[in-house]
Amino acid sequence: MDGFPAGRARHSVQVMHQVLLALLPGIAALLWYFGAGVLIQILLAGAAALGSEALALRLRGLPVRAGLGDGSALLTGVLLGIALPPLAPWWLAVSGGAFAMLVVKHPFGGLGNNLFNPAMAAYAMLLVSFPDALSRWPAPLPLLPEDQPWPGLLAAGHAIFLPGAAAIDAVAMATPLAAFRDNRSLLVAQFYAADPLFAAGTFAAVGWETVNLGFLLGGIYLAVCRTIDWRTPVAMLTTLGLLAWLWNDGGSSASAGPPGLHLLSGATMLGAFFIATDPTTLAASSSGRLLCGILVGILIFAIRAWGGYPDGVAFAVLLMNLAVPLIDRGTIPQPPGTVRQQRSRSP
Amino acid sequence: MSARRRLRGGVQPPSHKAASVAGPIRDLPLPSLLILPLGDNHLLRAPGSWVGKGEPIADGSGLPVHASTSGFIRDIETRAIDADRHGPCVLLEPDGDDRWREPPRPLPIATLDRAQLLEAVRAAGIAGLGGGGFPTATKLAAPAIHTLVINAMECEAYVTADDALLREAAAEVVAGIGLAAHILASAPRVVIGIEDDKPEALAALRNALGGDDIELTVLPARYPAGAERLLIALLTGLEIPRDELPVAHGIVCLNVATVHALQRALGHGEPLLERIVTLSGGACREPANYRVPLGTPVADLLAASGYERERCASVLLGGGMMGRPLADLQTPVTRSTHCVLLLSAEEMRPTPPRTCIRCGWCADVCPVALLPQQLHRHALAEDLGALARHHLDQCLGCGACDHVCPSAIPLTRQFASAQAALAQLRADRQRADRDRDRFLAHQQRLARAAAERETRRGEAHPATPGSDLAALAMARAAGAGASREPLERTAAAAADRLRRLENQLAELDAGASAAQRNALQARIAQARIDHDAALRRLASGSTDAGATH
Repeated sequence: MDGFPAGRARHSVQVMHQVLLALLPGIAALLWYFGAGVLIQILLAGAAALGSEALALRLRGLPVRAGLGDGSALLTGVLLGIALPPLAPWWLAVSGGAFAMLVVKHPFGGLGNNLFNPAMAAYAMLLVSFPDALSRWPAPLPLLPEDQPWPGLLAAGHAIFLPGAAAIDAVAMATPLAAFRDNRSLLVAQFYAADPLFAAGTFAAVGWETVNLGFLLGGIYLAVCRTIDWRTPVAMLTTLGLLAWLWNDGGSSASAGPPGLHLLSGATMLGAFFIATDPTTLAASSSGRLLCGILVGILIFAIRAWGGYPDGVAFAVLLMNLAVPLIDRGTIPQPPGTVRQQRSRSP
Repeated sequence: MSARRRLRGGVQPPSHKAASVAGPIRDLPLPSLLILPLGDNHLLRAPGSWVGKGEPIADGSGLPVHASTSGFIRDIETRAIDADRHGPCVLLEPDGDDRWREPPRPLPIATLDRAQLLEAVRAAGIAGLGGGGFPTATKLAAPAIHTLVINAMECEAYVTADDALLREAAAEVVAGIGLAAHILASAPRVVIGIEDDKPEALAALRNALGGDDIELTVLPARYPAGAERLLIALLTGLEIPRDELPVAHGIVCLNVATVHALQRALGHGEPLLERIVTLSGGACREPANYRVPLGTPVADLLAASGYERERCASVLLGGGMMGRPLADLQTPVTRSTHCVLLLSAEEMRPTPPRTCIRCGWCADVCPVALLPQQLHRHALAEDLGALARHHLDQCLGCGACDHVCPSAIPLTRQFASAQAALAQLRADRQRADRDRDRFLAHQQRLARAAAERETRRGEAHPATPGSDLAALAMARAAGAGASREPLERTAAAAADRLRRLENQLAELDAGASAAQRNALQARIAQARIDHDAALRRLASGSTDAGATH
């Protein structure tokens, strides 16, 4: 065993805990606007991910306690729980958490070796398999009818565990990106005034903008602590904002959405700071990470503007993950003083 | 030229330096045995003979080895010379008098030319004392040097040997810098780089410099800014790759301890016999710097400082970042030993390594822009091609990545063995290429000879038979002559060897053991047999040749 007398900076367990801490502002905003269902989804997905991780570790003959202790499975579960609609039926979170661990993570070698981001791969699987359930988001708190209270633990639990009883289904509402997508004839300004979501919002849609700002806050904290590389989110958000500005078309009815809508709706900030920055599935070099961010930004905008889904963060990140080995090959930094060599294959 | 750049990456580990520079440099009692690595040299004095302090006892293609104190040469044995290497060592038993053969005298520097000065530096056994161990005379012999960089950085955790030296002997260091510049003879610009975490040393250096035309650059303390090439880049803006030497770019970089040794050698006539070693660590009762005679076993150094085996979890040879665990405490202090660390169990923190999560912090701190996480991955896969593509050979082994790795992976150790594997692969490939080339050349030679025989036969038949026979006889005679030559050489070499061994036996004085005498006599007997055999072969070769005529 080696001695490291100078001491170590931080441990990987601390890293995971720091990321979980940084998620709190966004989670709090989600809770406030969309009810206690958020918490239940996070707990369900987290428990499913932890349980599946334990099973996978046991099957692979690895130490279970140490494996669960690194916090990575919990983080995956929490990210999936955040991405799911707060009132989605329980088996979505449970099957998603299990899928993330048993199909996406461990068959590829477990921690540090998975090709795809487990939370996003699980979300994409659910979205493709159950598009209807995944698009059913409740109305944010300010838009609930007078007689509808904030969905507490009891009401949310009822909707999640007994999905047959449709007591809260009545207040389900299109997400901002889906609502904007359905706009065919109004100018952006007219649509913003007409749609209740945008009419009540400051920058974009009410509730969603706050949630995104919450994740932005946590993300900035992580970037300042150097836990994540700032290049990926900055590149992604810049690219997305720039493309949205270019295709905004001056706010005509053909607009793909103004930059504010794209930056502060859907899973943009969560994706930028917590999903795309997952180091395991991200390129290794600084330039590679910049490239990954740009790629995700382009893909998110393309899927939202011209694709078949209102939001595209999960698919964009998965496609980027797929490109990482190639990006890694092409972006090996040049050590100082050395000369770039012509494609020599022999060592 | 003076473009000052920031160090790329790097870390700021706790320095742990204060304890060992609190007091003055201490002297060590003479050990009972000195172990002097022989290197590529041969012994100048026979085992058993008495040598005076400062007397050369071995020389050859390496740097000369001097007796660090007066005493008797005991033997040559294979001993540990480093944390992970063994080699032949001269064992010197001090007589306790510490008596010079002849008292050291300053050299008449002004009257000596460059070649004489360089030979004096070599003869004094001076090599880089910062850890590199590169012969200083070789560096100073380089032509057209425009910049002399003096390294006073000492960025390694725990190590304060240079700091202590500057505090106590800054004037000698400055004199040494002047000598180095004088020997370079190209009036180079002189720049000293020193970190800002040793104000006392800096003040002493400033004081000693006075109005000298030497630049002093204070740099923020950041590990590993003191690595030779990184310091050169920081001070001159010139980036030198790992596979090229700074002298090829007109730069010589010398450590402060090295220029101090230069001044002792030329200004006082003392060869390099001792160096300053920092003894520190949490399990060290009295952290301090010691003036240690070269060849002192680490065990004696530990004994002098009150070493307690129970408290000490590990002994490291080297500083906190790059030091390596020392298995054999009889390993001697050499020119490149700047620190010995006694670590307590708490300091060791034996964290079991976890899986790499590719967080990339290692790439952020790597001073030469490598991607340690990718190197780690490819090293695990033993993919030497990918390792070469990721510039494994540029790794300095500084340990900055080890320091920040949240999964506690021993990265540099892994890279060192991967580097060895890569070097081995390249060497194997080169040898295979050379063997193939030789084989092809041999085949071509055979084909050519066969073709020549054919043509000669074709020409011979139409010509007169008499002349053909004569030509054949002449060719045979020439062939016999050619075959005689190697035989004569062998015989001459055997005779030479026999003579040398007999001389050795004659020189063997009374102090030699019976075993030594017997061994030498056995070798003489064997040499005589070889010699007779060679003579016989030579004689029979001549008779064969004679029979053909």
